[in-house]
Amino acid sequence: MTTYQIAALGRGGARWSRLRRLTRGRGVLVVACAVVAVAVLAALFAPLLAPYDPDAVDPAAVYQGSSAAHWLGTDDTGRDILSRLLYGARPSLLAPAAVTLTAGLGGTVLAVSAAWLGGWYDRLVSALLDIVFGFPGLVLAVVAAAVFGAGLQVAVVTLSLAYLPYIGRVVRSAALRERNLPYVSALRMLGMSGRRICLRHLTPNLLPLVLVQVATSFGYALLDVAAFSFIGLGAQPPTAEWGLMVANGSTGILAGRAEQSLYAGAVIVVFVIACSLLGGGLSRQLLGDDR
Amino acid sequence: MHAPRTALAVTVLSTLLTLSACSSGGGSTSSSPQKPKLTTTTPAASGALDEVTWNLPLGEPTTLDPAKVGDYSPSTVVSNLCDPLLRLKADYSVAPGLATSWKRPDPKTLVLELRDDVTFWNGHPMTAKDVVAGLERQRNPATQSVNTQVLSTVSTITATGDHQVTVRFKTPDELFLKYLVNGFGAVSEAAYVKKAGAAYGTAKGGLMCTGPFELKSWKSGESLTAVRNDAYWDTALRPKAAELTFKFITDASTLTSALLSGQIDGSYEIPSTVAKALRSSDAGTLYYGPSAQTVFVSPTGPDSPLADPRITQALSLVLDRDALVRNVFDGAARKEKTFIPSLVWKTGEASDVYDKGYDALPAVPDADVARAKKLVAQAAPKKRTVTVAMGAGDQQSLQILTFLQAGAKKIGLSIVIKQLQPTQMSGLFYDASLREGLDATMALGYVEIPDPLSYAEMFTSPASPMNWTRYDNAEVTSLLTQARAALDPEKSAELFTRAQALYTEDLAIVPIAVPYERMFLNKRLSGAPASFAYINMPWAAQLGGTGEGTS
Repeated sequence: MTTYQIAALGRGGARWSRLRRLTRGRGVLVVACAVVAVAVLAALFAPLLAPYDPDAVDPAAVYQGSSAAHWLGTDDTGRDILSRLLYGARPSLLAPAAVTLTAGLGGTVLAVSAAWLGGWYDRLVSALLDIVFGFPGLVLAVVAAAVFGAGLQVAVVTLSLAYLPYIGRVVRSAALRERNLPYVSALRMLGMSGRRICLRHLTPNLLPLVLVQVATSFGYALLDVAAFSFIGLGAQPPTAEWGLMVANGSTGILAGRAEQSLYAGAVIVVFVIACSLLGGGLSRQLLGDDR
Repeated sequence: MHAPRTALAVTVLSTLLTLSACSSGGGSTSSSPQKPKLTTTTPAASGALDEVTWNLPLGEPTTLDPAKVGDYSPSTVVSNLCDPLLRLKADYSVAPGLATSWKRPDPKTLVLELRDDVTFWNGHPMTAKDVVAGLERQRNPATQSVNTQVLSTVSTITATGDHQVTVRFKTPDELFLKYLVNGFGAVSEAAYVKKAGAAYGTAKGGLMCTGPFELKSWKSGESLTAVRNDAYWDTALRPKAAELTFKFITDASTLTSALLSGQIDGSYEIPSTVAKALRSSDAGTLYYGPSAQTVFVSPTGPDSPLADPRITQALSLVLDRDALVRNVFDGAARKEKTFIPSLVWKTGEASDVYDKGYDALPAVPDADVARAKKLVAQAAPKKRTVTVAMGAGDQQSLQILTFLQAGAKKIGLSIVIKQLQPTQMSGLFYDASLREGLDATMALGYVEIPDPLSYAEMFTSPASPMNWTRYDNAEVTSLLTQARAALDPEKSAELFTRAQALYTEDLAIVPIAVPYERMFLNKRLSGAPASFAYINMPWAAQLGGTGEGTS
């Protein structure tokens, strides 16, 4: 063995031991990360991974069970369920991502500005967040669908609004605490403008909290988006989307053809649990919150 | 709020895992459904029943006013409450009802002789005046009758005796008599209708008819209950069930569970998607009967790309109808050459003429994508994206449209499926503004009288409100007008078939299939007709016990 080989082994060993240290006692978090990563990769590489066009119907292959040709079987129009699950990851992940990012961004801006400015503006923002908080997201979506028509875009906009208070209220409380810390007073005494303090110091210090909120909300947003599609107000046929797949397959269950609903439902549940665990793990790591 | 969601997610996962055990599992398990055996009736009932709970799978009726009834749910109920002048039989033939006989002294006069032993639920006798008032009321636009067009050929309706009504026509009309089998010919007590006004037929206004069941209560959103009319004039049809309750379950899975558990005793219009589960159940029997229903895709306006018959023909050519019948209708449908089901002429006097005309029509096309592409190229539509409406939650329509969507893609057309709520969907047929933004609609229609002429006129007559594409073929209109005026059944049939040969070529419509009637009956019940004729006959009066089961 050469010196170089020994050195390389040493470097590799150090990497593994660092990874072991990093993941020790965090097995669940690692599994949750892996589930999320697999789903994201499936969404990104669906065209490479899917064996069939997700919308290609085949009258001769309706309700086929698992086989070498169709690993997860086919649906009521002969479409390959595996391909639809893989392509379905795209709208199923993109929509809740849009919801949580919009709500995260909007909630943070509102919360920080309210906490900083205080007074009537803070009271107004708090009241608005409380009002929106009082409306269940699904009720808002039904109203929005009645006014603007059903569709994934309408569901995303409505849910973004519904999720705003979840993030905004938590961030506002933290921002109020942060605003009264001595370093903020020191920065003001140094003549730094309020905008600059908020952008350069206050908001960056709140980012771990925002990140945890966004991560935790992501799974629930995915569940809500799927629920919208399930009741016909979200993604529209023939879009491959997990909630819509559960709905489309539901009539097959009583006829013994549960595959479509079963697999799509299982993917949703596993992903939501993974997101919930990931949010909890991030909370412990970034905020030291052991709840 | 997150903790309950996690619990919910875990519960759903457990349920799904349980379902996986119930699912038929691996391997190629798609099975071709067997061709169902058709029957017009079920075995005669032997015993009495205290209560029957029946479902209306298309939802709660909006009205029970016979003049306004033109849809599945209200007709299913009203046919047991309000007797018409003529009665439809299970085989789709016509028999006397409240009118015992009729004669035509001349081509423009029809004299109806009425029964003299009929009373309304309140004990008041039925007279010719009630019949005249009921028919005249439908002439008044304020009534919003769905049968106004039936009266277009009528000049006067008069009571020429206590139990005799004489109808005089501007031109002879062979259809008028046949329309007397449905809500148009149903008789209500004139004094009661006048008193109830616009509320007649609603939960508030009630009904006053002569049928085998009397309306007892209507709890909006929950149920509708009718009780036996012990003084019913037709002793052979005095109901065996004391009380009849209608429920409004529209979800196929919920309905199936209710039927399997015995909470609901029966239902017509069982969705094809759950037929397999009910067929194999020992809770009751799924019956298949002949039907006058028809499934088709129809353009919603003259500007729709589908208004060009070349486009509808092209779409017709991308469908594999055998596969549709097998996969979408669970084998319980038949492909036919036109959108008018043949049952409506099968029991008529001139059925041979109709059959001959039907046989001469071009065969139902096999899938031919190359020919479809040529037709689209010839038509060169300006708009290649077609928005098609369907009822939300209607899995059968969704399946059909998914196949059509995939086929359309092959010929350069894009189909966007728009799911509408039931009220919006039914509103399309009456309100043009609701059709804006749509190019076509998936339709499940039916011919409620035993004559194909009425349905053909509805889609081809320039004056018809259902002729959305403004189809106008002078020769077709002339032939159908002559057919309606011809009182000789053979001559009328011959004129109709000539018109049919013409409009089959150029009427923009995509016939899909003629589905069979599907009715589920709990094992403790029997006697109800299994054919689609139930829509206009007192089917529940024939329901009775079998002595089996207690659910």
